[in-house]
Amino acid sequence: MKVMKVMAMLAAVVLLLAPFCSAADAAGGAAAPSLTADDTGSKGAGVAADQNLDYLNDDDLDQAEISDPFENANRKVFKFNDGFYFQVAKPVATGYKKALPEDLRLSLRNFFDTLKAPARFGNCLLQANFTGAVTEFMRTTINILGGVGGLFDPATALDLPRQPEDFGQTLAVWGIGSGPYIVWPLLGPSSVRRTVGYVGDAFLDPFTLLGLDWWLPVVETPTRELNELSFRLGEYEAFKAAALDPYISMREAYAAFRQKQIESKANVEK
Amino acid sequence: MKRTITTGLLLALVGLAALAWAAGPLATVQARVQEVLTVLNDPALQGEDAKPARRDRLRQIAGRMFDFGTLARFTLGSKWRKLNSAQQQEFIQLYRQLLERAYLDKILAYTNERIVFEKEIPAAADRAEVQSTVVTATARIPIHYRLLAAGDTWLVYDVVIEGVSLVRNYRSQFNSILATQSPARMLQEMRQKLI
Repeated sequence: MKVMKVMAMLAAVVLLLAPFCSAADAAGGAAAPSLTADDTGSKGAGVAADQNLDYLNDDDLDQAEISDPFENANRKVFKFNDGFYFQVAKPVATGYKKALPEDLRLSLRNFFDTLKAPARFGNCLLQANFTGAVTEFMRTTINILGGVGGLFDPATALDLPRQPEDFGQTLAVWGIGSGPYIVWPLLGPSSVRRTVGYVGDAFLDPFTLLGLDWWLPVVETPTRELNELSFRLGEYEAFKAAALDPYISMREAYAAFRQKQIESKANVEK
Repeated sequence: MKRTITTGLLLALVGLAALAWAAGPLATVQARVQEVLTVLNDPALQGEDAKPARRDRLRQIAGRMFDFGTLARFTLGSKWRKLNSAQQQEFIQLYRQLLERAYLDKILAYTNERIVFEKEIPAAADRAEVQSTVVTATARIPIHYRLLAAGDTWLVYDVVIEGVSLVRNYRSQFNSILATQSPARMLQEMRQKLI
Protein backbone atom coordinates (compact mmCIF):
# COMPACT_ATOMS: atom_id res chain seq x y z
CA MET A 1 0.00 0.00 0.00
CA LYS A 2 2.77 2.35 1.02
CA VAL A 3 4.74 1.35 -2.05
CA MET A 4 1.80 2.24 -4.27
CA LYS A 5 1.66 5.67 -2.70
CA VAL A 6 5.36 6.22 -3.24
CA MET A 7 5.13 5.15 -6.86
CA ALA A 8 2.17 7.43 -7.46
CA MET A 9 4.03 10.38 -5.95
CA LEU A 10 7.10 9.64 -8.01
CA ALA A 11 5.04 9.39 -11.17
CA ALA A 12 3.48 12.75 -10.35
CA VAL A 13 6.87 14.39 -9.80
CA VAL A 14 8.25 12.92 -13.01
CA LEU A 15 5.25 14.09 -15.00
CA LEU A 16 5.47 17.56 -13.53
CA LEU A 17 9.12 17.92 -14.40
CA ALA A 18 9.09 16.07 -17.69
CA PRO A 19 8.54 19.19 -19.82
CA PHE A 20 11.79 20.66 -18.49
CA CYS A 21 13.72 17.57 -19.43
CA SER A 22 13.73 18.41 -23.09
CA ALA A 23 15.53 16.84 -25.96
CA ALA A 24 18.65 18.70 -24.85
CA ASP A 25 19.91 15.42 -23.54
CA ALA A 26 19.55 13.64 -26.81
CA ALA A 27 22.30 15.79 -28.28
CA GLY A 28 24.57 15.06 -25.35
CA GLY A 29 23.69 11.41 -25.53
CA ALA A 30 24.61 11.07 -29.16
CA ALA A 31 28.02 12.62 -28.70
CA ALA A 32 28.68 10.96 -25.39
CA PRO A 33 31.30 8.28 -24.98
CA SER A 34 29.83 4.94 -25.86
CA LEU A 35 33.09 3.17 -25.23
CA THR A 36 33.01 0.50 -22.62
CA ALA A 37 33.20 2.43 -19.44
CA ASP A 38 32.93 -0.58 -17.25
CA ASP A 39 34.46 0.25 -13.93
CA THR A 40 33.52 -3.14 -12.59
CA GLY A 41 36.40 -4.47 -14.65
CA SER A 42 36.47 -7.54 -16.80
CA LYS A 43 32.95 -7.79 -18.11
CA GLY A 44 32.92 -4.87 -20.54
CA ALA A 45 32.27 -5.61 -24.15
CA GLY A 46 35.43 -4.96 -26.11
CA VAL A 47 33.89 -2.82 -28.81
CA ALA A 48 34.90 0.77 -29.33
CA ALA A 49 32.48 3.18 -30.90
CA ASP A 50 34.60 4.44 -33.74
CA GLN A 51 32.95 7.79 -34.12
CA ASN A 52 33.88 8.46 -30.54
CA LEU A 53 37.57 8.44 -31.32
CA ASP A 54 37.07 10.47 -34.44
CA TYR A 55 38.05 13.97 -33.46
CA LEU A 56 38.31 15.02 -37.06
CA ASN A 57 34.59 14.80 -37.82
CA ASP A 58 33.40 16.02 -34.54
CA ASP A 59 31.14 19.00 -34.85
CA ASP A 60 28.93 17.60 -32.10
CA LEU A 61 31.92 17.72 -29.75
CA ASP A 62 31.60 21.50 -29.93
CA GLN A 63 28.24 21.28 -28.21
CA ALA A 64 28.09 21.66 -24.46
CA GLU A 65 27.26 18.33 -22.87
CA ILE A 66 24.30 19.75 -20.97
CA SER A 67 22.06 22.75 -21.52
CA ASP A 68 22.60 25.61 -19.11
CA PRO A 69 19.88 28.26 -19.36
CA PHE A 70 20.40 29.25 -15.71
CA GLU A 71 24.11 29.92 -16.16
CA ASN A 72 24.02 33.28 -14.38
CA ALA A 73 22.34 31.92 -11.27
CA ASN A 74 24.42 28.74 -11.44
CA ARG A 75 27.64 30.72 -11.54
CA LYS A 76 26.62 32.58 -8.40
CA VAL A 77 25.89 29.36 -6.56
CA PHE A 78 29.14 27.89 -7.87
CA LYS A 79 30.98 30.85 -6.39
CA PHE A 80 29.18 30.40 -3.09
CA ASN A 81 30.07 26.70 -3.01
CA ASP A 82 33.67 27.53 -3.83
CA GLY A 83 33.80 29.91 -0.87
CA PHE A 84 32.09 27.37 1.35
CA TYR A 85 34.66 24.76 0.39
CA PHE A 86 37.65 26.89 1.30
CA GLN A 87 36.15 28.67 4.32
CA VAL A 88 34.26 25.82 5.95
CA ALA A 89 34.37 22.36 4.38
CA LYS A 90 38.11 22.15 3.83
CA PRO A 91 39.26 23.29 7.28
CA VAL A 92 36.69 21.07 8.99
CA ALA A 93 37.57 18.03 6.86
CA THR A 94 41.28 18.65 7.41
CA GLY A 95 40.80 18.59 11.17
CA TYR A 96 38.53 15.56 10.89
CA LYS A 97 41.14 13.74 8.81
CA LYS A 98 43.82 14.44 11.42
CA ALA A 99 41.57 13.34 14.26
CA LEU A 100 40.37 10.04 12.82
CA PRO A 101 42.65 7.30 11.46
CA GLU A 102 42.13 6.23 7.86
CA ASP A 103 40.91 2.75 8.80
CA LEU A 104 38.12 4.21 10.87
CA ARG A 105 37.15 6.65 8.15
CA LEU A 106 37.10 3.81 5.62
CA SER A 107 34.82 1.81 7.88
CA LEU A 108 32.51 4.78 8.25
CA ARG A 109 32.50 5.15 4.51
CA ASN A 110 31.54 1.48 4.11
CA PHE A 111 28.81 1.90 6.69
CA PHE A 112 27.31 4.94 4.97
CA ASP A 113 27.62 3.15 1.68
CA THR A 114 25.67 0.17 2.98
CA LEU A 115 22.85 2.54 3.94
CA LYS A 116 22.54 3.40 0.27
CA ALA A 117 22.33 -0.25 -0.75
CA PRO A 118 18.50 -0.42 -0.87
CA ALA A 119 18.48 2.52 -3.28
CA ARG A 120 21.14 0.93 -5.48
CA PHE A 121 19.35 -2.42 -5.43
CA GLY A 122 15.98 -0.82 -6.18
CA ASN A 123 17.39 1.18 -9.06
CA CYS A 124 19.05 -1.89 -10.57
CA LEU A 125 15.61 -3.52 -10.56
CA LEU A 126 13.93 -0.43 -12.02
CA GLN A 127 16.50 -0.49 -14.82
CA ALA A 128 15.87 -4.21 -15.39
CA ASN A 129 19.54 -4.73 -14.54
CA PHE A 130 19.07 -8.04 -12.78
CA THR A 131 22.74 -8.98 -12.69
CA GLY A 132 23.35 -5.71 -10.91
CA ALA A 133 20.48 -6.27 -8.50
CA VAL A 134 21.71 -9.74 -7.57
CA THR A 135 25.27 -8.46 -7.19
CA GLU A 136 24.17 -5.61 -4.97
CA PHE A 137 21.97 -7.90 -2.89
CA MET A 138 24.71 -10.50 -2.37
CA ARG A 139 27.28 -7.83 -1.72
CA THR A 140 25.19 -6.13 0.94
CA THR A 141 24.28 -9.40 2.65
CA ILE A 142 27.95 -10.39 2.79
CA ASN A 143 29.03 -6.96 4.02
CA ILE A 144 26.40 -6.89 6.76
CA LEU A 145 26.98 -10.46 7.95
CA GLY A 146 30.71 -10.81 7.29
CA GLY A 147 31.63 -7.14 7.43
CA VAL A 148 30.29 -6.37 10.93
CA GLY A 149 27.12 -4.60 9.92
CA GLY A 150 28.64 -3.00 6.86
CA LEU A 151 31.76 -1.57 8.52
CA PHE A 152 33.96 -3.63 6.23
CA ASP A 153 33.70 -4.45 2.59
CA PRO A 154 34.77 -8.04 1.98
CA ALA A 155 32.37 -8.27 -0.98
CA THR A 156 34.42 -6.12 -3.33
CA ALA A 157 37.36 -8.49 -2.97
CA LEU A 158 34.95 -11.31 -3.88
CA ASP A 159 34.26 -9.62 -7.21
CA LEU A 160 30.91 -8.26 -6.05
CA PRO A 161 31.48 -4.59 -6.75
CA ARG A 162 29.16 -1.82 -5.69
CA GLN A 163 26.56 -0.97 -8.34
CA PRO A 164 26.53 2.80 -8.42
CA GLU A 165 22.95 3.15 -9.65
CA ASP A 166 20.63 5.93 -8.57
CA PHE A 167 17.20 7.12 -9.55
CA GLY A 168 18.58 9.86 -11.77
CA GLN A 169 20.22 7.13 -13.86
CA THR A 170 17.03 5.07 -13.81
CA LEU A 171 15.14 8.02 -15.29
CA ALA A 172 17.83 8.30 -17.96
CA VAL A 173 17.50 4.60 -18.79
CA TRP A 174 13.76 5.18 -19.11
CA GLY A 175 14.53 7.72 -21.78
CA ILE A 176 14.07 10.94 -19.85
CA GLY A 177 16.49 13.74 -20.73
CA SER A 178 18.70 15.38 -18.13
CA GLY A 179 17.01 18.76 -18.37
CA PRO A 180 19.02 21.88 -17.62
CA TYR A 181 22.12 21.96 -15.49
CA ILE A 182 21.60 23.12 -11.91
CA VAL A 183 24.20 23.97 -9.28
CA TRP A 184 22.67 23.55 -5.85
CA PRO A 185 24.10 25.26 -2.79
CA LEU A 186 26.27 22.74 -0.90
CA LEU A 187 25.12 19.80 -3.05
CA GLY A 188 26.93 21.11 -6.12
CA PRO A 189 26.49 20.12 -9.77
CA SER A 190 23.18 18.53 -10.69
CA SER A 191 20.46 18.52 -13.31
CA VAL A 192 16.69 18.60 -13.17
CA ARG A 193 16.66 14.84 -13.70
CA ARG A 194 19.27 14.25 -11.02
CA THR A 195 17.33 16.42 -8.60
CA VAL A 196 14.21 14.31 -9.12
CA GLY A 197 16.53 11.37 -8.62
CA TYR A 198 17.50 12.58 -5.13
CA VAL A 199 13.83 12.64 -4.21
CA GLY A 200 13.26 9.18 -5.66
CA ASP A 201 16.23 7.72 -3.82
CA ALA A 202 15.09 9.27 -0.56
CA PHE A 203 12.15 6.88 -0.66
CA LEU A 204 14.58 3.95 -0.65
CA ASP A 205 16.66 5.38 2.17
CA PRO A 206 16.66 3.02 5.18
CA PHE A 207 15.55 5.94 7.36
CA THR A 208 12.44 6.34 5.22
CA LEU A 209 11.91 2.60 4.83
CA LEU A 210 12.08 2.08 8.59
CA GLY A 211 10.08 5.23 9.32
CA LEU A 212 12.81 6.70 11.53
CA ASP A 213 12.96 10.26 12.75
CA TRP A 214 13.35 12.95 10.12
CA TRP A 215 16.46 14.42 11.69
CA LEU A 216 18.52 11.25 11.22
CA PRO A 217 19.11 11.77 7.49
CA VAL A 218 19.67 15.47 8.20
CA VAL A 219 22.60 14.48 10.41
CA GLU A 220 23.69 11.57 8.27
CA THR A 221 24.14 13.45 4.99
CA PRO A 222 26.67 16.06 6.15
CA THR A 223 28.55 13.48 8.20
CA ARG A 224 28.80 11.20 5.19
CA GLU A 225 29.94 14.05 2.97
CA LEU A 226 32.50 15.22 5.51
CA ASN A 227 33.88 11.70 5.80
CA GLU A 228 34.03 11.38 2.01
CA LEU A 229 35.74 14.74 1.66
CA SER A 230 38.49 13.60 4.03
CA PHE A 231 39.60 11.20 1.25
CA ARG A 232 39.35 13.80 -1.47
CA LEU A 233 41.11 16.83 -0.03
CA GLY A 234 43.22 18.50 -2.66
CA GLU A 235 41.17 17.20 -5.58
CA TYR A 236 39.11 20.34 -5.95
CA GLU A 237 42.21 22.52 -5.67
CA ALA A 238 43.93 20.51 -8.41
CA PHE A 239 40.82 20.67 -10.54
CA LYS A 240 40.67 24.42 -10.18
CA ALA A 241 44.36 24.85 -10.92
CA ALA A 242 43.95 22.92 -14.16
CA ALA A 243 40.93 24.85 -15.40
CA LEU A 244 40.75 28.09 -17.34
CA ASP A 245 37.09 28.42 -16.49
CA PRO A 246 36.39 26.16 -13.50
CA TYR A 247 32.63 26.65 -13.84
CA ILE A 248 32.54 25.33 -17.42
CA SER A 249 35.08 22.63 -16.66
CA MET A 250 33.00 21.38 -13.74
CA ARG A 251 29.77 21.47 -15.71
CA GLU A 252 31.16 19.49 -18.61
CA ALA A 253 32.95 17.03 -16.35
CA TYR A 254 29.73 16.49 -14.41
CA ALA A 255 27.75 15.80 -17.57
CA ALA A 256 30.38 13.45 -19.00
CA PHE A 257 30.77 11.57 -15.74
CA ARG A 258 27.00 11.10 -15.38
CA GLN A 259 26.74 9.94 -18.97
CA LYS A 260 29.41 7.35 -18.28
CA GLN A 261 27.61 6.19 -15.16
CA ILE A 262 24.34 5.83 -17.06
CA GLU A 263 25.97 3.85 -19.84
CA SER A 264 28.11 1.65 -17.65
CA LYS A 265 24.99 -0.22 -16.58
CA ALA A 266 24.36 -1.29 -20.15
CA ASN A 267 27.80 -2.87 -20.21
CA VAL A 268 27.08 -5.00 -17.18
CA GLU A 269 23.94 -6.17 -18.93
CA LYS A 270 25.77 -7.23 -22.09
CA MET B 1 80.56 -20.33 -44.10
CA LYS B 2 77.14 -21.49 -45.10
CA ARG B 3 76.19 -21.61 -41.45
CA THR B 4 77.33 -18.06 -40.90
CA ILE B 5 75.19 -16.88 -43.78
CA THR B 6 72.17 -18.77 -42.47
CA THR B 7 72.66 -17.34 -39.02
CA GLY B 8 73.08 -13.89 -40.47
CA LEU B 9 69.91 -14.26 -42.50
CA LEU B 10 68.01 -15.52 -39.48
CA LEU B 11 69.21 -12.62 -37.39
CA ALA B 12 68.25 -10.18 -40.12
CA LEU B 13 64.79 -11.74 -40.30
CA VAL B 14 64.33 -11.54 -36.55
CA GLY B 15 65.44 -7.93 -36.68
CA LEU B 16 62.98 -7.14 -39.46
CA ALA B 17 60.18 -8.90 -37.63
CA ALA B 18 60.94 -6.91 -34.49
CA LEU B 19 60.86 -3.70 -36.49
CA ALA B 20 57.61 -4.55 -38.21
CA TRP B 21 56.02 -5.67 -34.99
CA ALA B 22 57.04 -2.50 -33.13
CA ALA B 23 55.20 -1.79 -29.91
CA GLY B 24 51.41 -1.79 -29.88
CA PRO B 25 49.38 0.93 -28.15
CA LEU B 26 49.13 -0.92 -24.85
CA ALA B 27 52.82 -1.80 -24.75
CA THR B 28 53.68 1.80 -25.62
CA VAL B 29 51.63 3.34 -22.82
CA GLN B 30 52.86 0.69 -20.44
CA ALA B 31 56.48 1.44 -21.35
CA ARG B 32 56.04 5.18 -20.83
CA VAL B 33 54.28 4.70 -17.49
CA GLN B 34 57.08 2.35 -16.47
CA GLU B 35 59.58 5.09 -17.28
CA VAL B 36 57.63 7.48 -15.08
CA LEU B 37 57.65 4.98 -12.22
CA THR B 38 61.39 4.45 -12.66
CA VAL B 39 61.97 8.20 -12.26
CA LEU B 40 59.70 8.38 -9.23
CA ASN B 41 61.44 5.46 -7.55
CA ASP B 42 64.98 6.50 -8.52
CA PRO B 43 66.94 6.72 -5.25
CA ALA B 44 69.12 9.44 -6.77
CA LEU B 45 66.07 11.61 -7.35
CA GLN B 46 64.41 11.51 -3.95
CA GLY B 47 63.70 14.41 -1.68
CA GLU B 48 62.56 17.99 -2.06
CA ASP B 49 65.88 19.14 -3.61
CA ALA B 50 65.53 16.74 -6.51
CA LYS B 51 62.01 17.84 -7.31
CA PRO B 52 62.97 20.09 -10.24
CA ALA B 53 65.10 17.28 -11.65
CA ARG B 54 62.24 14.81 -11.34
CA ARG B 55 59.91 17.29 -12.98
CA ASP B 56 62.34 17.70 -15.88
CA ARG B 57 62.60 13.97 -16.39
CA LEU B 58 58.83 13.61 -16.40
CA ARG B 59 58.57 16.42 -18.91
CA GLN B 60 60.95 14.55 -21.20
CA ILE B 61 58.86 11.39 -20.92
CA ALA B 62 55.71 13.37 -21.61
CA GLY B 63 57.34 14.67 -24.79
CA ARG B 64 57.75 11.11 -26.00
CA MET B 65 54.34 9.96 -24.78
CA PHE B 66 52.03 12.73 -26.03
CA ASP B 67 51.44 14.32 -29.37
CA PHE B 68 50.96 17.83 -28.05
CA GLY B 69 50.34 19.27 -31.50
CA THR B 70 47.44 16.95 -32.22
CA LEU B 71 46.20 17.31 -28.66
CA ALA B 72 46.09 21.09 -29.10
CA ARG B 73 44.46 20.90 -32.53
CA PHE B 74 41.78 18.46 -31.35
CA THR B 75 41.15 20.62 -28.32
CA LEU B 76 40.37 23.70 -30.38
CA GLY B 77 38.54 21.69 -33.06
CA SER B 78 36.96 23.94 -35.66
CA LYS B 79 38.26 27.02 -33.78
CA TRP B 80 41.83 25.97 -34.60
CA ARG B 81 41.56 27.85 -37.89
CA LYS B 82 40.70 31.06 -36.05
CA LEU B 83 44.31 31.22 -34.90
CA ASN B 84 47.06 32.29 -37.27
CA SER B 85 50.04 29.99 -37.48
CA ALA B 86 52.12 31.93 -34.94
CA GLN B 87 49.19 31.84 -32.53
CA GLN B 88 48.75 28.12 -33.17
CA GLN B 89 52.40 27.50 -32.28
CA GLU B 90 52.10 29.57 -29.14
CA PHE B 91 48.87 27.82 -28.21
CA ILE B 92 50.56 24.41 -28.41
CA GLN B 93 53.31 25.65 -26.10
CA LEU B 94 51.04 27.36 -23.57
CA TYR B 95 48.57 24.49 -23.51
CA ARG B 96 51.39 22.03 -22.92
CA GLN B 97 52.70 24.13 -20.05
CA LEU B 98 49.23 24.41 -18.61
CA LEU B 99 48.78 20.64 -18.66
CA GLU B 100 52.24 20.05 -17.21
CA ARG B 101 51.58 22.55 -14.47
CA ALA B 102 48.27 20.89 -13.66
CA TYR B 103 49.27 17.26 -13.78
CA LEU B 104 53.01 16.91 -13.10
CA ASP B 105 52.68 17.63 -9.41
CA LYS B 106 49.85 15.14 -9.14
CA ILE B 107 52.12 12.51 -10.65
CA LEU B 108 54.97 13.52 -8.36
CA ALA B 109 52.62 12.99 -5.42
CA TYR B 110 52.17 9.39 -6.54
CA THR B 111 52.91 6.94 -3.76
CA ASN B 112 51.97 3.32 -3.88
CA GLU B 113 49.07 3.27 -6.24
CA ARG B 114 48.77 0.19 -8.37
CA ILE B 115 48.28 0.69 -12.09
CA VAL B 116 46.39 -2.05 -13.86
CA PHE B 117 46.45 -2.13 -17.65
CA GLU B 118 43.31 -3.83 -18.80
CA LYS B 119 43.11 -3.81 -22.57
CA GLU B 120 43.61 -2.00 -25.79
CA ILE B 121 40.71 -1.36 -28.13
CA PRO B 122 41.58 -0.68 -31.74
CA ALA B 123 39.40 2.02 -33.27
CA ALA B 124 40.44 2.92 -36.80
CA ALA B 125 43.65 1.54 -38.29
CA ASP B 126 45.58 4.38 -36.74
CA ARG B 127 43.60 4.90 -33.52
CA ALA B 128 43.35 2.94 -30.34
CA GLU B 129 42.27 3.28 -26.77
CA VAL B 130 44.23 1.80 -23.89
CA GLN B 131 42.26 1.25 -20.72
CA SER B 132 43.86 1.26 -17.31
CA THR B 133 42.81 1.67 -13.71
CA VAL B 134 44.74 3.34 -10.94
CA VAL B 135 43.98 1.54 -7.70
CA THR B 136 44.60 3.39 -4.46
CA ALA B 137 43.71 2.41 -0.93
CA THR B 138 40.56 4.50 -1.13
CA ALA B 139 39.55 4.63 -4.78
CA ARG B 140 39.66 3.03 -8.22
CA ILE B 141 40.17 5.55 -11.00
CA PRO B 142 39.67 4.41 -14.60
CA ILE B 143 42.14 6.15 -16.90
CA HIS B 144 41.84 5.59 -20.64
CA TYR B 145 44.47 6.79 -23.12
CA ARG B 146 43.55 7.53 -26.71
CA LEU B 147 46.39 7.06 -29.14
CA LEU B 148 47.25 7.85 -32.69
CA ALA B 149 49.72 5.82 -34.76
CA ALA B 150 52.79 7.92 -35.51
CA GLY B 151 55.30 6.12 -37.70
CA ASP B 152 56.36 3.02 -35.83
CA THR B 153 55.06 4.18 -32.48
CA TRP B 154 51.88 5.44 -30.83
CA LEU B 155 51.30 8.84 -29.26
CA VAL B 156 48.61 9.86 -26.80
CA TYR B 157 46.23 12.58 -27.94
CA ASP B 158 43.60 12.37 -25.21
CA VAL B 159 43.25 11.05 -21.69
CA VAL B 160 39.83 10.10 -20.36
CA ILE B 161 39.61 10.00 -16.58
CA GLU B 162 36.41 8.57 -15.12
CA GLY B 163 34.62 9.18 -18.39
CA VAL B 164 35.80 12.79 -18.63
CA SER B 165 37.82 13.47 -21.76
CA LEU B 166 40.62 15.97 -21.23
CA VAL B 167 40.37 17.24 -24.79
CA ARG B 168 36.61 17.62 -24.67
CA ASN B 169 36.63 19.32 -21.29
CA TYR B 170 39.22 21.87 -22.38
CA ARG B 171 37.48 22.32 -25.69
CA SER B 172 34.33 23.51 -23.96
CA GLN B 173 36.38 25.96 -21.90
CA PHE B 174 38.25 27.36 -24.91
CA ASN B 175 35.01 27.46 -26.91
CA SER B 176 33.41 29.47 -24.17
CA ILE B 177 36.32 31.92 -24.13
CA LEU B 178 36.47 32.20 -27.92
CA ALA B 179 32.73 32.83 -28.07
CA THR B 180 33.30 36.29 -26.65
CA GLN B 181 37.02 36.93 -27.05
CA SER B 182 39.69 36.98 -29.71
CA PRO B 183 42.37 34.28 -29.97
CA ALA B 184 44.90 36.91 -28.86
CA ARG B 185 42.92 37.52 -25.67
CA MET B 186 42.63 33.79 -25.07
CA LEU B 187 46.40 33.38 -25.33
CA GLN B 188 46.79 36.33 -22.99
CA GLU B 189 44.53 34.59 -20.46
CA MET B 190 46.59 31.43 -20.76
CA ARG B 191 49.83 33.35 -20.18
CA GLN B 192 48.27 34.95 -17.12
CA LYS B 193 47.22 31.57 -15.79
CA LEU B 194 50.78 30.34 -16.11
CA ILE B 195 52.40 33.14 -14.10
